[in-house]
Amino acid sequence: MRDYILLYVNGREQRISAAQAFQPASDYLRLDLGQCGTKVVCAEGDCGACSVMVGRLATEAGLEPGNELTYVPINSCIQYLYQLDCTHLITVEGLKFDGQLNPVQQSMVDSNGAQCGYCTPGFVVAMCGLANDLQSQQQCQGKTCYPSEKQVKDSLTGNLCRCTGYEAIINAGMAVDLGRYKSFSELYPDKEMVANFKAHAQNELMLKLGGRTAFNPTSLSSACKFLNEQEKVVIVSGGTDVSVNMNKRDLVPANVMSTAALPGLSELKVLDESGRKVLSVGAKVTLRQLENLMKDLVPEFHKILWVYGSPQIRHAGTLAGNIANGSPIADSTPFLFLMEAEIEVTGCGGVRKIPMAEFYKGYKQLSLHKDELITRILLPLPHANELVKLYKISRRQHLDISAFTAAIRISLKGNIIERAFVVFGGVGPVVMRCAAVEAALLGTTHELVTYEAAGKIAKEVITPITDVRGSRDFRLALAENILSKFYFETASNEREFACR
Amino acid sequence: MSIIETTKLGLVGKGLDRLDGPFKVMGKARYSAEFPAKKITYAVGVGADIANGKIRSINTAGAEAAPGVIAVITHKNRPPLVDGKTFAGGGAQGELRMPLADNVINHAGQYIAVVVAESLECATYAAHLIKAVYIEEDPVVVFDDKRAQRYPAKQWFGEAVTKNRGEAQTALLASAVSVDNKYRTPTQSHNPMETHATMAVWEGDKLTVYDATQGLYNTRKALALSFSVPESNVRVVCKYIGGAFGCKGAMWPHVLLTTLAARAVNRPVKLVLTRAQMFTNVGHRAETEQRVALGATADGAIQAIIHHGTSHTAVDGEFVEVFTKATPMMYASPNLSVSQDLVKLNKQMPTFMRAPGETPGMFALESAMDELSSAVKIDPVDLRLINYAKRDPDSGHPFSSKSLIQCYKLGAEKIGWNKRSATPGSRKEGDWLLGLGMASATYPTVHFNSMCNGLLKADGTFLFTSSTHEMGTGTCTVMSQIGAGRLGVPVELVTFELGDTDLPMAPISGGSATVGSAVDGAAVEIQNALSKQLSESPLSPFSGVPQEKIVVSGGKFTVVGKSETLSYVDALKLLKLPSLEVKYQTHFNDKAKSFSMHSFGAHFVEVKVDQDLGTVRVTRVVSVMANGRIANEKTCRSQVHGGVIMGIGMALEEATLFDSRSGRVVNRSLGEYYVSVNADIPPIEVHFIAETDKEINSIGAKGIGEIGITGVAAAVANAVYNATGKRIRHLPITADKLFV
Ligand SMILES: Cc1cc2nc3c(=O)[nH]c(=O)nc-3n(C[C@H](O)[C@H](O)[C@H](O)COP(=O)(O)OP(=O)(O)OC[C@H]3O[C@@H](n4cnc5c(N)ncnc54)[C@H](O)[C@@H]3O)c2cc1C
Ligand code: FES
Ligand code: FES
Repeated sequence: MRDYILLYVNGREQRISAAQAFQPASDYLRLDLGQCGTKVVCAEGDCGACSVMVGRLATEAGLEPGNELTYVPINSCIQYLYQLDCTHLITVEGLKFDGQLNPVQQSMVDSNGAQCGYCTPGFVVAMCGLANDLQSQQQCQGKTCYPSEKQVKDSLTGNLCRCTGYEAIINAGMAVDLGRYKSFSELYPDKEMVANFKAHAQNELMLKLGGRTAFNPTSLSSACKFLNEQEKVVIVSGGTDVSVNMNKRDLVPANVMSTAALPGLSELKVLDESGRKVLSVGAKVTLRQLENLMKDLVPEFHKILWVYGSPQIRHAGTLAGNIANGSPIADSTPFLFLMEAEIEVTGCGGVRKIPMAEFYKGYKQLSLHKDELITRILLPLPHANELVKLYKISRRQHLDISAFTAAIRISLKGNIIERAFVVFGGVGPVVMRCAAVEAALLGTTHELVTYEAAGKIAKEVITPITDVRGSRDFRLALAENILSKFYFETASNEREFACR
Repeated sequence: MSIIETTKLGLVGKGLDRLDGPFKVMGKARYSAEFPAKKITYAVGVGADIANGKIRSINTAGAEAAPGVIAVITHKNRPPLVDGKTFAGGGAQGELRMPLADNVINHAGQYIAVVVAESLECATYAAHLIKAVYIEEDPVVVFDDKRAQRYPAKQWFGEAVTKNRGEAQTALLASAVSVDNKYRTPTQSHNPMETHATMAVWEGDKLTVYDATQGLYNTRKALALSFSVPESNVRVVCKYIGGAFGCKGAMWPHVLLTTLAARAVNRPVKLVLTRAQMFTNVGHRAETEQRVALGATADGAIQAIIHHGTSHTAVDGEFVEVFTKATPMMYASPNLSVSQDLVKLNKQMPTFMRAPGETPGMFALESAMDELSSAVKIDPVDLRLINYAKRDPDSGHPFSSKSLIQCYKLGAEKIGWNKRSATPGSRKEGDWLLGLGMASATYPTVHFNSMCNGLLKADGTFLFTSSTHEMGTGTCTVMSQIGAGRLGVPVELVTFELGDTDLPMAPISGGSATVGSAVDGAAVEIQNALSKQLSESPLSPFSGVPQEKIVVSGGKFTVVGKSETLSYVDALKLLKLPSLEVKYQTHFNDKAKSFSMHSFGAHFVEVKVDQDLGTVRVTRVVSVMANGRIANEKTCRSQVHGGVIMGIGMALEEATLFDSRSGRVVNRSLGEYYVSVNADIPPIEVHFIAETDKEINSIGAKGIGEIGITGVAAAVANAVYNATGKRIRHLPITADKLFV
């Protein structure tokens, strides 16, 4: 057992004992290390001002620990220190090279990207994340090249600025000469860090402070044993739900168990199960890794992942966490219901698979036993000839929780609907398949009247409530309209004008 | 001081890069929460769970016993404080009530305790353990609650709110065409990225306070009063502000609490507000309900304008959101009536928020103009031209400058206004309905007196000092430019220092006003002081030449007809001066009594609306502004951009929601109070119409911080109407409202 966290900050080793460990990294940086460049604006992952780069012993492909550090931007306000054991943090103070502003910083100055400046360090870090990424894809070495507008915008959806109106910032991003950019591994040679991490990683981390425990098991058996023996253990993967609740004080857990050091949960690969392609997603696979894979594999799901939270959230958050969080407006679950995914869970007694349809027993009630944790998700992929559409309705275009979600999957034989799956989220306590609507569609002709009729049924059978994200009537209207929208989107008919 | 042609002011006007940029990108700019102090302690404020009632009992035992806790202060053991004054009453306080004064609760989140501990984590944990028992009464948080106290608003900073011209109601009834509707805007929260932060350090009866504030001198005065120490014992410092938009103008209770706690525990105390507290403890923009009625002749000439309505204030104080402020001067109309009511609600005191008054007011007025345009079947731009006010119809004074016609014309051309169809809902693209809308923008030019010291050093560099604020508006950069421009020297030779009450007095940075005139004046003082001595001193080549004949050009003193030129350093050397220091104070501009001084502009907006989902996307904005002299293109453009985006947010997203039963704010986070993300922001084109305004002030600038937001929400709503045929009069325009 080890009773301190090993962390590097801007290349310097820090050993953090339990007395300091139960706080978010952002507070540690600002208050304990006096490095105030990292700002805390929301403490909930909503703004990106606390962005730092984290270097982990894992490769982008989601494979098992490699021999070098991979850097991604994350929100340090929702990363408690025990989640960051054996990692290297680079803060805005650590970006400078050769005593100069780095090309991102210089570009922000040149483009007048900072007004009040409070969001600036977060933007700089997120942009460096992008530059590092593009550079490591080796597209730019030795030649002058710049990120595209889309790349810059996509990389900054998790950063809020209340002053500038973004244009100057985006221009700054597009003017970064990637050819001159030095990667993090060049700035911070990682050989010594990697060796140190590997040596420490063998040893389970256990921190105790005033009745609180944080535990990072290094084997599944040890994890299940801890779950079994301790009361009220909160499992933390990316922490993008757990840490938010802790910061809000809605959750003050006595026992936290991080999956960070568990082996074997980073697998992301397509299996062939008797002709059907099934994607196996390990519990530690981040949403970002999934997003990258889905780009070509299932563009429709990629569309949802692309607007999911923000890059910082996706670099930390996991599919397993989204499922286990059990929110009725979770963005990944409609697709999992649609494809009849299975959840693999591991407990003291071994492994079992739970069909998605049986996983939730009620609002945030899971079919997990006390000693079990999610280890894998088995996600069948759509056939080429299936019509699949996913919808996320939210106020903002990125960085927003859904008001309503829908997923529709149809197989046609000729023009007759042979199989139909219709899933709604945000209209009840759990994400649900809508049997009545599916039944109405089955065996009927793929034409507008069918979907209009199905829409009317949808409106009858769901019982949404009114909350800050939308009224009951609005959700009813969406459930109805979305079916016709599906038809128009899949039938490629020139749409008749109808003003509602 | 003479007014020289603005174009001769050298560097000023060019897009100079900000001087503070490098600090900010390195994370080295030090904000108020980031000053170190020895033996620092951390305070956390605890807010009330109820919005109306009394504290029956408060249990602090758990918190006091928690590890690391040093003190817990409640109304029961609060040390004495001298009552302060509100901002409107000549003081600094956002609200009159002193923190922890007694057990009365007037709004949810009102402080009921403050915990001081060795670490932030300890203080936060202990704050969580404090339990209060309340005697709760039903809160009054909606306008139409029968128990709500309602009364007419009389004045706003000395100016009457009610105004009448002719017989508005009679003229309205007699008009060939009229529109008469109600518009509503919700409570909004400023939400600058930096939450308020204060650190108080007592040394004996000397106090230093690091505070995120737009009003250093006001804060100093208020602290001196409440803690019964001479003003000279109090120093308030604020070097950078991480955004404010008005909420850091007044002093809020946490500043008193922090200072009081520091005295109580006899150590420095730091208190940083949480994001949730930004919704309940530092003011907000008041909710409004406005009736706008316009009557016109069949060819569009407005005969009557009526603008009446209500905004809320706190139960224990008065703040008027003067949404009718711009209406009397905006359009020529022989008949007009404006007035406002206040309704007392269990919400915290409202306060100034970016373009207070005009922001909600212009939403209503400019939406009504669009409705009139449909009713009378005249293009919205033409309708505004028909009713263009050449003189201020309210005061009867000429405008010091007004280029609104050019704004309309350029804006219409740039957006492609001729593509707009007068029939709503007639343009589409797949699932999307397309629309175009426009609205006018305006904000008055505000004058506050301020002081600035100027120093010419032996090495030829200059230092200007004034205790104004760097809020992200580029103050340091622009002030250095203004000084350098007047002096005729490269900007590298000029430094401007701010953010400390040890420096000369500057007023609150609000109303788009700053200390440019004071810096300019101090620069002129340096020139005058030197030319006086050059004229008088026997050591000078210009000895005996009358002072007026000595001119400064390109940074050199000369006399017409003479070949000698002297630089500032030459002059110092000749006069055997080690350095030269001047003080300058601005004076009220008497011309404000005979000229009407306002900025004007126009926004043109293109939207698309998904007909199945009700989703509204703003796809393009063209904003044309006429703001006098543009002191720095880059920072000005940036200010307008920021304003337009906040305006889009106001149109589509922003609203602070109160639970009608508990009176609590429901969406107290940036996850649920929507601030636009970059993906929501369309291309925004900003154009400036150059104006030479010799009346407004010595530098000819009108201020740019506020005008950008005014009118934007109306332009969006008008475009949504053009796209869908649905008129949304209650902001924000959510998909919900377009459907249901
Ligand atoms: C700013 C912000 C934006 C967001 N945007 C979105 C969005 O657009 N769409 C969306 O759906 N969600 C969103 N979320 C929610 C959150 O990011 C997701 O739910 C995420 O997938 C959670 O993954 P995680 O690994 O961070 O989970 P964690 O926070 O680590 O855990 C979440 C829950 O799952 C449990 N858990 C974690 N791992 C396991 C396991 N292996 N076995 C059993 N239980 C486990 C935890 O105990 C906890 O109850 C957002 C959150 C934030 C803060
Ligand atoms: S402080 Fe806002 S994301 Fe961390
Ligand atoms: S510059 Fe102020 S929040 Fe971005």
